[in-house]
Amino acid sequence: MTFRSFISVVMLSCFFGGATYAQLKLPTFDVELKIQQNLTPGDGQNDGDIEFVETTNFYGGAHVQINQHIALGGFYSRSFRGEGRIHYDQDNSIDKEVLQLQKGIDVRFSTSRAKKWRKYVSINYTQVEMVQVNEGYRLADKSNAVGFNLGIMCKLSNNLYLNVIELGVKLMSDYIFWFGSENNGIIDAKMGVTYNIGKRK
Amino acid sequence: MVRLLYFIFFAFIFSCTIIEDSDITSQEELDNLRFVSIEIKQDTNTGSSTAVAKVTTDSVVDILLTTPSFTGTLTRTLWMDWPALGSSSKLKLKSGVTTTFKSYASFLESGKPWTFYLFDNDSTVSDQVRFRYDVNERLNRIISIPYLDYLDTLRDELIYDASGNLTSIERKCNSNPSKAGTFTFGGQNNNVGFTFQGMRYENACQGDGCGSNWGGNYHVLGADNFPTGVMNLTTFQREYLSMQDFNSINQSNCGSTGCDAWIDTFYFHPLMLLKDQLEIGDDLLFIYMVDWWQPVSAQESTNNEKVTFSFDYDL
Repeated sequence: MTFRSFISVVMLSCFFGGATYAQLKLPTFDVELKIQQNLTPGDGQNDGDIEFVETTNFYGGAHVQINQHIALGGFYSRSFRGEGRIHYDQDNSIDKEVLQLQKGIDVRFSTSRAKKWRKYVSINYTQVEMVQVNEGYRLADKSNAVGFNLGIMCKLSNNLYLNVIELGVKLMSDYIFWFGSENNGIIDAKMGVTYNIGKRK
Repeated sequence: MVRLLYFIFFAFIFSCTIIEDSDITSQEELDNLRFVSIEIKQDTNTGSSTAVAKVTTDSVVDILLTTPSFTGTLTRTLWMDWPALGSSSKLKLKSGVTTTFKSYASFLESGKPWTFYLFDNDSTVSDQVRFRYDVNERLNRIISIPYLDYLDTLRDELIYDASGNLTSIERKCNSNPSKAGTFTFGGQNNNVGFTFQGMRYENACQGDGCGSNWGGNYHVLGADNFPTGVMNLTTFQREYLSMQDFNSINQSNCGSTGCDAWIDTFYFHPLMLLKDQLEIGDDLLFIYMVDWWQPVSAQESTNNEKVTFSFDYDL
């Protein structure tokens, strides 16, 4: 099953299941907008090896809330800036523009609604795409990844939450072919807002 | 309806990608990149110049090769027109040719080079370099034939250990034993390097535990441990190759006598073009400094000079 068809099946299940569930309980979902900072470390031992890649992304996501603790949804995150530092010449390095796209599905588990703070953890399945822009050509690769995030949000109003900080780790299933190392982890930090749409429990 | 829109939204974003059809998406595609031209920029004490070498023919061929130790197929040949590297050029041809010239290279199915020729402008062969392989297509010989001085043909045998690491190179020159010798690997002061004919070539480490690096990232040292040449060699992911004659030597490194600067000559070598087609190409470019880098005369420390190849690819 391809990634896209897998996603389609999951999303269909999510929406039809959610719709059925909503007739009984809560037709509630949320959307989130965040700024995401990603860091992918590399070995950077030899000429041409990546020392690190860092990108800053616009992150958008949406979740169907199964109940007040569990939400299932998806996200899309695309870089608006980024660079990769590549080792060469002993202790020297060169910087190259890097683009990154992350898209996937996640399940978010959160604590009960509280007056102010709400903690949450999410588990995600992501497809990561990376592109390095060289002068004469572009290098591109993609990999699936699984990861988890820990975060805390602050209630601003009945519908609006501020995601104060969310920290995450992803592990890619494949190595990016031009990285020159077998590092396949991505760490990220996010900040933004989450807006609830629909009835409140 | 809201949920339908929600679904359509997700279907849309999951179909988005930042990867374009023209992107290089595998090592194999990267290995098969074909350059169409090379901009050769030279910054010297007498000024800057830029010239372009162009690929004139890049052909698919099917030529069966059978040697006692190797069987393979030539699948590609590449002809290039090169600009004149005049007598004042920093980059020169070892044959002494100062007019325009041509090059020819042939490649195995794996992309590895087989033979490289240089031709004078009257189509006379001036130099040939043969890359030869064992039954596992591992490079085991490099034969350099200067046609104007045929008796100085250099026959290099690459020797590997059981793990496949290159451990030494033995150079033979039947008619001129003074050109023969063994490349013995191993640097000093945490440098990476090798010794050949009493001269130590090193890729200098920098920082704690390193010896003097003399300013450039590569140097060659004589028996007195003082440099007889310092240079910066940089190459980056098939984009460019830069060779800088590092002449601004830090005088504090040489005690009361001060340091000389060696005004180097760079000789064109096929590894400057073909190194990325070989698994150990970067290492070989370093090792074959003995053939393409020639510190020729000592003088007062002066400005650095640089030759840069910028490769332009056709995707």
